[in-house]
Amino acid sequence: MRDPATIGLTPPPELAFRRKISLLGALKSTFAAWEMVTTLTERELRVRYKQAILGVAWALLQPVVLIFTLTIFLSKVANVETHYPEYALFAICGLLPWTFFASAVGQGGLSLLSNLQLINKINCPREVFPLSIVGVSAVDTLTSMVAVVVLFAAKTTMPHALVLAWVVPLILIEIVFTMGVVLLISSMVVHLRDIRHVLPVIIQMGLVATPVIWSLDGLERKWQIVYSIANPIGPVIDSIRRTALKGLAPDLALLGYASVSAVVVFFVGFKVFKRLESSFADLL
Amino acid sequence: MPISSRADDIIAARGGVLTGALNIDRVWKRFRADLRNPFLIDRIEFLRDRLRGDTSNNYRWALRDVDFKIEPGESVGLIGSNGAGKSTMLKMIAGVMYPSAGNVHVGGRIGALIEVRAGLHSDLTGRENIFLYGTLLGLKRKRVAQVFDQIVEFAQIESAIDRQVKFYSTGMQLRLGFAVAAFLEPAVLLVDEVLAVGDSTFQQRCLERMRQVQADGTTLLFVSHDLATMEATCTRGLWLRDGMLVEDSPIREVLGSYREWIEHSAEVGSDQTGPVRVTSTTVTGTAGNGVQSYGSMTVELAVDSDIARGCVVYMGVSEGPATPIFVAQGSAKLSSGSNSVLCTFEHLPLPRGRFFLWTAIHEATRAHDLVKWHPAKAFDVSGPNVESTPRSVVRLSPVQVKNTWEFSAD
Repeated sequence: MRDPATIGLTPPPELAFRRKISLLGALKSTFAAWEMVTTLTERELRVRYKQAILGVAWALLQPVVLIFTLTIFLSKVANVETHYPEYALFAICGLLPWTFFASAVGQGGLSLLSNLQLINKINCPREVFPLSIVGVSAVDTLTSMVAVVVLFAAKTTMPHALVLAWVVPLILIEIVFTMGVVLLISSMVVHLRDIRHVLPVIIQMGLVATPVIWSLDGLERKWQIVYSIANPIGPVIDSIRRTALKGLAPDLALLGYASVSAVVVFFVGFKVFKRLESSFADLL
Repeated sequence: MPISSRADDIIAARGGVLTGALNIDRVWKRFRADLRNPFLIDRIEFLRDRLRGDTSNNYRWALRDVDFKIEPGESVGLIGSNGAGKSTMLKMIAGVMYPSAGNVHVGGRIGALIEVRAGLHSDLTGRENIFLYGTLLGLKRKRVAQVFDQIVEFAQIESAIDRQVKFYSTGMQLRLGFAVAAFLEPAVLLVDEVLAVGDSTFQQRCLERMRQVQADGTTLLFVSHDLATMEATCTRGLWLRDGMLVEDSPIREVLGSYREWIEHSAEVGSDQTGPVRVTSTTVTGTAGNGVQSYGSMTVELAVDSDIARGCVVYMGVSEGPATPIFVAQGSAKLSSGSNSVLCTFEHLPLPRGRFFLWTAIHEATRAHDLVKWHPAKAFDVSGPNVESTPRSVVRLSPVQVKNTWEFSAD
């Protein structure tokens, strides 16, 4: 039997716990946990479509309604000059990447809070929860591609084939950036719950701040560069429009800045997430 | 159950210890003393306190310098009163919480039976839940599919497997939760007081299953307030008190000192302000010796009463601070002033060990109690050392009955 009196009041400083994780090792274990991400994504989708009778239709409804509103008010009423022939097509090219980002950040940012029961029980890598929400948004975006096809058919326009050559790198930049932001926000929300209330406001502002309803062409060159670094989604949208609607090559310089920025944001987000991860169970 | 190679696990061993081994290396855990939410305003208050140099009551140490090792295949019971740090310790071993100081090394996957229903998603079907949970525990889908039938069979939910879990009864949810965690081949199984919620059939099945996985080489860490079950299930005991590990020895010894400690904290005696007061309690055995197995035991209560009244005196004996083994009652006429109440028990069927005497005094109408039912005294029974029962007998019997045997061949 040990005498409790021999135990000090605070631990000796050399015992202080330091979690040893290398960035590479952490990335490896995230990759190893990929099946968890897909299973969680599947769970989210199943739960959602079990509750809603219209199911998939809801995923389509949101972008369609937005397109209508934007087309009518901005091109007909406000007369926004875009240098593109069809405002509806111009708008949807911007809307899809934006909705993907917005819904991933909006739901993914709160994913740790909504899964706290699992987080308090299972020691899986925590990033699977926010990442699975990125997966959900990706599936939603794929579903709303139907709206894009219908819209192009209605306007009897074919997107230029050039877009196919660029679609993979563009999606990559978009996803890497989104994952970084989602990881950053979701881990910070645990430590500062106020973000939860500010988040919807910021996302709403983002709709205006991102070239969804306006064109990046309108900016001066140096501001275009600054913008590409600050928000990699801007050049992604711009490249989609140039390739799909005009058949022009993307602005490679801007795209370069955007990819570097996206990768940096991802690593920062991942690093912060892993750093804050060890205190999640204490706070949730 | 076939033991598969655990090579297809996603989650690797933490800290390079043998599969199934635990190494708790001088662990300390600190919590914020107040459980306020981490809103901005709390942060500001916290910073303000710190700037003022007032850090005195910001923290509470939930665990202090806890240090032990568990070998693969051991079955260990973790005991301690509420708030002693047992759940914090389990969470740390389960890997969902990290220590403030020290280190936790765990070999292999953990099956945690903590609030078994918590991991189930009510909108998903039983089938979907099994796969979700298994994947999150780190198993490949293929592997989950292989044990799927066993899980369904154990949980007895064959007919409901494709129904949403929110339409399950509480019992079905419990069985499913237990089955999923216990059948997914954990190297270490943590069981936290889950058995208390199920019915007795379910408890038996769970204990049966726990013994089976243990026989297969799984390390077992068991938390319960049911000391008898713990004694039957574990070989070694760890006692946490106020976040400190005060004893680490064979289960019987730990339970012995734990019961002794409870006796000290429970023996606060009865209320001395009521209309009837028990001023002293004495337990004596045959001819002034200690109490012996199969001997007689005399209990004497000195009782003070304000007025003359009729009453009923209750006495009982229990093994721990739990259900009595037997009770006796007697009607008494108390006169105003001091009284003496004597009760003799014959042929005491108690084995060697430590027991508690409980007393209560009620009004003659039994309408309400004059002295509450409370553990009044601990006493030791001496007797022959009874062979411990084989481990397949779940509950160790608290009474010993004289018996004779005859064997004959036809």
